[in-house]
Amino acid sequence: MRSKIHWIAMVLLLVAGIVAACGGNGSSGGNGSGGSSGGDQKGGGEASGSKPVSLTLTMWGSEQDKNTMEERLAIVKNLYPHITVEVNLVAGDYDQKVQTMIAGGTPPDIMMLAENYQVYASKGQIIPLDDYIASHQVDMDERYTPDIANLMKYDGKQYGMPDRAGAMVVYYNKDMFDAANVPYPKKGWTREDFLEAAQKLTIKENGKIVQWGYYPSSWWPQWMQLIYQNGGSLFDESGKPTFDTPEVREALQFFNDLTYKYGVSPTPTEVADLGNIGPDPMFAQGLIAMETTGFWNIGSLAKVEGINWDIAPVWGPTNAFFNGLAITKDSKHKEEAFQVIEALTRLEAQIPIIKNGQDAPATKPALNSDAFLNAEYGGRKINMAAFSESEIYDIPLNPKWNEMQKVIGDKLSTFFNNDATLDETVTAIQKGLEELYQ
Amino acid sequence: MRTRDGLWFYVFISPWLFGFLALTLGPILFSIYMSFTDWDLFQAPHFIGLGNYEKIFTRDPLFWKSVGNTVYYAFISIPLGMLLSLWIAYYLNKKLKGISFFRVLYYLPSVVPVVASSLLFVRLLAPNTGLINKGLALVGIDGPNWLLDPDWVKPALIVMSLWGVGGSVVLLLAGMKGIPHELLEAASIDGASPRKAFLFVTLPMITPIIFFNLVTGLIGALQTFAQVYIVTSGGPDNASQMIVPYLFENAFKFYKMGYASAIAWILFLMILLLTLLVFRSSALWVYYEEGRKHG
Repeated sequence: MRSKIHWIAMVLLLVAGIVAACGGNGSSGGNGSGGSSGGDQKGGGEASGSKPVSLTLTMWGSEQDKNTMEERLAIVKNLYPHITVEVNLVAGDYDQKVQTMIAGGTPPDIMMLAENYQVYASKGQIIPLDDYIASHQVDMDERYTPDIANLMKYDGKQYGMPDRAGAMVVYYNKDMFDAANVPYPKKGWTREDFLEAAQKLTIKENGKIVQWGYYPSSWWPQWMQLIYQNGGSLFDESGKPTFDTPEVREALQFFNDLTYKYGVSPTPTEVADLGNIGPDPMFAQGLIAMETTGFWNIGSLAKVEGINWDIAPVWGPTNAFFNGLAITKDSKHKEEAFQVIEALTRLEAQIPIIKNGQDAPATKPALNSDAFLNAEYGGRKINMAAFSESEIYDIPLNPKWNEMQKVIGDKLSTFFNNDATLDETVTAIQKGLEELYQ
Repeated sequence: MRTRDGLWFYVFISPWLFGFLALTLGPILFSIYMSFTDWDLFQAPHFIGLGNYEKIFTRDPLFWKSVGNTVYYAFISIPLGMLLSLWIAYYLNKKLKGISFFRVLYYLPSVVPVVASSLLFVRLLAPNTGLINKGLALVGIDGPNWLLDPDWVKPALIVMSLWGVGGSVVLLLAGMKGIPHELLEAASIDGASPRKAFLFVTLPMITPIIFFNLVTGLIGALQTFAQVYIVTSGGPDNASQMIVPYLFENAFKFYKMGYASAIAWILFLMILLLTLLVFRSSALWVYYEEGRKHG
């Protein structure tokens, strides 16, 4: 009797195992047959000649970011009443969620993407837009400056329409500059001017530093901008790593000198003692006179009382923080998806980004619009021209970006702690990059 | 009669069984297959045979570094944690006024989510302003730069793990409470000192619980993730990188799901082997009152 039950249990187990395995195979195939039912059957109601179409757009960010996107999509809806776009705000790990959607056969039509759009492009998950741009006669030169349009070019093709893009800018504490009698940073200042200001703005009391001139943190845009400002680069034209060059070495040495030679930046130990906070809170707390970071800090600082600050362009070419809109390979409505992202990057649909103080818009007309230049944040007028005055270097984006960051970051962290020599660091990184890109 | 019982057994266990078969076993089997492919989460996987395993064993020093770190962490934090929890449980077992307050106190850290305690330890381990180094300074020790120093970052994580021994303390305490009073009484009548009574009565009686703590502790330590991910991100220069964060990085940052699956299976085999060893050894040191059932 018992053996019979065992037998039944075995059969049950096998059946369940097979069912489970089938489920697994289905989800792996990606373009499996079961998944095509997607989100495109929502009857759009008010048909106006064209057949109603429903699209999904995935994005990350806050609830407010989502509201802004919906506000902008309402403007698009006026142009294309038959297209309905459902916004899917992904909380948590964006890549993971979107990959799951793609693998599960319900890909979004439009994706918000940033630096790692290159991964999606190299794996053929998003499509080049050049043909659509040509057939819709979009004048890219009118819409974007070349630096910004280039941000979303992979292999010479345009894989996304940049949507929001702000250069990294210098945030400076005006009161500290006034107290030290240092002129404010402005367009055209140099790395030497910056260092001189940082030195004058570092204040010691009783042998203890109470105010630093500048704190960059070990975040990649900070050291990378110094390399490119110095004429260095991570790769040459043929894509070979060029980390072990005098330009790169000098830039990294300068980075460490800020801390260990000139003493204008806190050491990692001092930062750990402050509770491992980043430059943004340090600036807000009045511990540093200057920091370099992106647009988002304007919104944070606008809420901080008792600090008198403004922004200026960085002393040389710098990074841009951007995101753009791309179309997935598996979208059933690529034409409509392009209509939407093209409309989202027109001036009128960019205005809510400015109005809601969300980010710097990516397009040239929006960056130069009065709405942007005269925008007020927390009742304060800021030198918004700093964004259009910034020069952006060609960020070495590539499909192995995350691995590249690890190879470099692992070694740089030891160097920034002053636990490794420049020579060891640079040769180890060059070797690591050569292995990664062989 | 037995058949009916057996049938009910399957009826009652079926919800779990179904969940396991449909939701867990499937992905597990799937990951075996994936470990033989170059799946990148985007494109259809290609079968590459033992390619992933070959790379792990011959060309991936970072994997071996993270294995080394994990083993270092497990082999120090587990014995230390077991000794500490035994010691605390011994004292919490005393009949003293207000002892339940202390029992709560020692258990409390186990209730704190690991993210919160990790952030707390970033503060506690700060080089000059952290409480730990301030405490060391009081006794004249110049504390290390814990999280920034490749030599001290693993000990720092071990210190963190010791903070959470409350869970095993509670189990040991329950075990000690369950020891029949006659045994200890008989020992004291026979003239055993409290120390001897502990070593020859209490300790053997709670070996099943020590055994349980050892097995779960071993598995937990080898699967350490959150502390590393939050406190150090594996740094400085991978000095605190461990297997599971390394696996996660490969899967979700570098899009090497096939490679990560292979790492996961190697980790599984490691855990299986070590757990089997512990189980085998248990015949030598774990005492069951009702006698050992051989089977």
